[in-house]
Amino acid sequence: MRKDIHCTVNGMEREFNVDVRSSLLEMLRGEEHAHSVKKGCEVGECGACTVLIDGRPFVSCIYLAIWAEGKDIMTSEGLVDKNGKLSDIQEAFISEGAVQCGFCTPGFIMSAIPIINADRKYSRDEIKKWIAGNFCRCTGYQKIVDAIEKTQEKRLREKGLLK
Amino acid sequence: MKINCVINGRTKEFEFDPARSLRELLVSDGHFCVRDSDDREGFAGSDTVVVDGIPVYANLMLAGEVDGCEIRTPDGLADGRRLSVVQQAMVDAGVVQSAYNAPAAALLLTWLLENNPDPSKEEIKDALSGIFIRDAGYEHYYLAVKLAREKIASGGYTSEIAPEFREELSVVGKVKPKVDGRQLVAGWKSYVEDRVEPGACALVLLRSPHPHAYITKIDISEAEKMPGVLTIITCENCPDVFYMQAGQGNPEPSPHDRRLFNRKVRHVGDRVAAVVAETEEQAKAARDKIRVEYELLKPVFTVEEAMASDAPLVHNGVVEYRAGAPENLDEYNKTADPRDGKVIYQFPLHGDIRHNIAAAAHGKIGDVEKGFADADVVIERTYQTSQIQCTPLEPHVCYAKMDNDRLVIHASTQVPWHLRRIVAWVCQIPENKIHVIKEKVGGGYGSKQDVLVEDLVGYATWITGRPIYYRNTREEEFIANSTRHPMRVTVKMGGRKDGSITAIYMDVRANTGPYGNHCLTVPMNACSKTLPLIKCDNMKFDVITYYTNIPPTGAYQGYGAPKGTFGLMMCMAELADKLGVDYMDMAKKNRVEEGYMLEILKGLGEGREGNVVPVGSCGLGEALDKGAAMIEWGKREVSVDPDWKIGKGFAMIQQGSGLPGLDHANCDVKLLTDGTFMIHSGGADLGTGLDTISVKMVAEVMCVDMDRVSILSGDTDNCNFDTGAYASSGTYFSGNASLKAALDLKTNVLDEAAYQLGEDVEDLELRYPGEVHSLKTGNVLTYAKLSHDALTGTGRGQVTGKGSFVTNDSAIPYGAHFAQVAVNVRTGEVKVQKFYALQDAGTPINPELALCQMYGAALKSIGHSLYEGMVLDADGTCLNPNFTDYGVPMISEMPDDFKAVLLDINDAYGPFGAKSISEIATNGAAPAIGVAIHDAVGIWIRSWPFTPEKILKELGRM
Repeated sequence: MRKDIHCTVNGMEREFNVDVRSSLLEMLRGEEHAHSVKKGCEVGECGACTVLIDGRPFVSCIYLAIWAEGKDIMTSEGLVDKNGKLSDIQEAFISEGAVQCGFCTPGFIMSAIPIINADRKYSRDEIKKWIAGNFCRCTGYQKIVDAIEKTQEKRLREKGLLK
Repeated sequence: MKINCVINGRTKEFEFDPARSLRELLVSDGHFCVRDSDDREGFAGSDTVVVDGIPVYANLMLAGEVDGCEIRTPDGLADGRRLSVVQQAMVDAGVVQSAYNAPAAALLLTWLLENNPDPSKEEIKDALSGIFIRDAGYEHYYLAVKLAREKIASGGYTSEIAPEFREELSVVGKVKPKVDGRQLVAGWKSYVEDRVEPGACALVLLRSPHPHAYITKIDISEAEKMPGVLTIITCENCPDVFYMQAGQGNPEPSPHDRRLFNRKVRHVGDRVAAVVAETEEQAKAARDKIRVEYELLKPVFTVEEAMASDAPLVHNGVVEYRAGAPENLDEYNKTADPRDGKVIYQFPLHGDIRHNIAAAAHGKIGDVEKGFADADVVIERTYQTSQIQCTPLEPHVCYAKMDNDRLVIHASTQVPWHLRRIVAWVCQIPENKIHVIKEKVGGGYGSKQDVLVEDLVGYATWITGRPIYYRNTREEEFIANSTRHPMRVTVKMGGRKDGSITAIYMDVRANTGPYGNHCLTVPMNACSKTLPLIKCDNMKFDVITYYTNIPPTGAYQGYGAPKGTFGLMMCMAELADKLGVDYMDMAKKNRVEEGYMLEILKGLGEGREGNVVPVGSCGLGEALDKGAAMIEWGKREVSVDPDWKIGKGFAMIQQGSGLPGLDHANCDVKLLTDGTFMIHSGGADLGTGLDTISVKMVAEVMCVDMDRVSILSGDTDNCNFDTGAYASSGTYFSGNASLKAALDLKTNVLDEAAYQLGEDVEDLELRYPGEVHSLKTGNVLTYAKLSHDALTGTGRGQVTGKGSFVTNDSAIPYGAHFAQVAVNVRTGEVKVQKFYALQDAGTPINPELALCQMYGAALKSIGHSLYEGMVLDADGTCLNPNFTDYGVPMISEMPDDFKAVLLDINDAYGPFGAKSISEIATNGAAPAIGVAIHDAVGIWIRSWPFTPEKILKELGRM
């Protein structure tokens, strides 16, 4: 059975006709061509498919597409501006050396969004807890935490919340 | 609705909109080789499929109509990787060239043979009557059917496919299947459109409805708000970068006279705005919301209008020179209108845009006035040629995307490296940011020598970061693309009663249209590829090219030569007629021969002093003798129907093989670990068989079978520089680079073998099927063992060969084309009964492909001569921008007796003696047919096309 789904993806109003059994991951990769959403384990363990749903990180492989009705979804594509310029968190992942094979990167970045958007500083331990659902085999996580930490500090400074 | 059908024997069920076309249904199911080349016009047959046993155009059938039907598509013919008998026969016959329609033709011939195992020529013609082939000229399709029937009957071929050359060689000069023939005939992924990924965005253009106007206001505010819109590019926000689209050597002999979008539009169809959106529908909807206000200007359409003293100026901008600026430039620019932009000459082309002159050239040898004074008869005649469209089946197309901040361009192009340079310039980015991948080209014919869509698609992709797919509509191919320059060629020729020519003057006035692509070189070519046919001490030429407001022009197979040859050979025939000497005798008396010094070339360099060289290998005499015998020159033919009068004509022809001193080709070849070979060639094969030539060079030199050699070509990341496939340079330049790479590899393989065997290089030789043999010790080292040992932990490294080819030597192909026509004196109709194309291509490396290129080029030029021509109304709108109204030769328009003959000539400079083959073959038809019409009914038709109206008028019957 198929069903029409209306939602917002990266700020654009979308309508999809999906098989009711399909995952949000399949809808985003297959219909929306949002290829930053990576198909890693398909059982919700690796976090490579993490997207924001109404601002909160979810693994899209175990989230049914039909649940997205009326939701506001954001993928890593939505972080790049109209002229192709990367966002600060993406640049930080590159400059801190947090990107190796890169397969997990978009998922980590989506998990980090609530942290860098917050108005208070998260400790490294808190950051680790927030990204605990994302798996990385290359980097040993250290650089990823560095990138998130630096970006949150930069954002807080911009808001005048940190000297 | 639910649609149940059987496709290629498999039961399918679709949920599909029944009002969409059958082609859309089939493409959605992965049958992408059911193509569209005519925007659903139902003409070209790229969309041919068989439904319930009947061939149909899939574009013209609704998806809903096939419920319960059995459908066959071209990709169902091959059995996995194994081609069908018909497909293989087509490859072997040489008809698979640019091949956009080859899969559809294979399906039709399969259908024919299944229903009629022993078809007559008429029945084959009928089966192929709805399919347009521009490249191979249909003739060898009859051969393909014959081969297929032989294979079915006896398991092998008994007919000769093509003559073979150079007994001492194993693959060069031999009939061998084209290396990319399989993928092309089977309909496997090949072309740009096959590389487009899901999610690609669309780009559509808003085009000018006016031939000449300033854009006074352009409002995109409503359009920008439309759903899915990513960007809109106009003259207000495009880069302020002047360039030109012709893919020529750098610095270009054409002015930089345009930006991506200009404040002034200069032809109906000129770019006004580009809309990039997520879907084509969204882009088109947004395009409708763009509001443009124009200030209309008076247009000029002809050379005569452009040269009038009060003519409106097509370009009245600021003129700049990158080198060689005249001293009075500031004064000259005082009257410039900034709205016109700029015209930037890379070096002086003797243009004068305040008089609509884009470029000019003049030159002479001897004293023509003295020559005319010495003549018994002097005539001066003016010949006019029309605007002709190249009509590649695959329109201009581009798919661009970003890959890690690099712009990747999948292109259908003849000039990958010029393309990269021009796109880099337009985007103002360095070349290392761009990767051009030349895909298979579904017909180029010169029109894909110009960077007509990649400039814009590349820029739009660069600024949006989004993948963008763009494809010209067929109408855009006519109105906003590149076409043959219309030309007025006046020839003054003096001759003596003994048939000798005492002086020739050529005055060439060319119409370049709105922009100056090839504005110097195409018209110069009308002189440089014709005057050197004639031994004459007094020759002079003036070439002037004018800007006008017709649709754009550019390169087209033959370049300026078809126009020049039409003028020169017709005038020679007219002079012979006046002198009362036989035209054939006159041609033979005045033609050049080996060793004759071509002084005239001095003034015919492209913006520089030309190279004076002697005539090298030359088959002109043999072409004339053989052709005259074949057509029985001098024997009058009489029709049983008194309305039809029969006449004969011919023309001498020549071209070049690339541009010595300007062109450059590179090739690398490496020995792989198992003893096979990989070539990386800069050469851009556009269906001509250039890749096959490169493979043959390596196979021949390394003594291996061709299937031990693979090739990647025309990829700017992975291959070395090549100026591109134009000016008939492929065989001579890229082929010679491949030969040099192969010879270098041979040296290095022998060197490595000597090291590994501990022997002297002098004692070693290469032997089939791929080994080094010692003449001294009898030791044998296979390439596989040699390569393995070179690549071990103690080896000396990969064995490679490198070839870079430049030259000042010319390899000029010659020939003569003969026609016998019948002219109906009541209707004015002209029928080409016989057409014989005799050519000296040096050693034909791929004889069967060479023949098919000759047929294709000759048939094209028969079309140009008899009926092709763009028709503009008083406002400069093209009235026939589609196949049906324009008219291109279909199989039924072929001459009844059509023969291509390769003369056996060996050239000193070409690879294994080869010269170029295809462009030259477009030069002969117009004068040969024109002379034949005179022979038949006594009238000289001096303008293309030779329509019934013109014939009846000249006959005084209209």
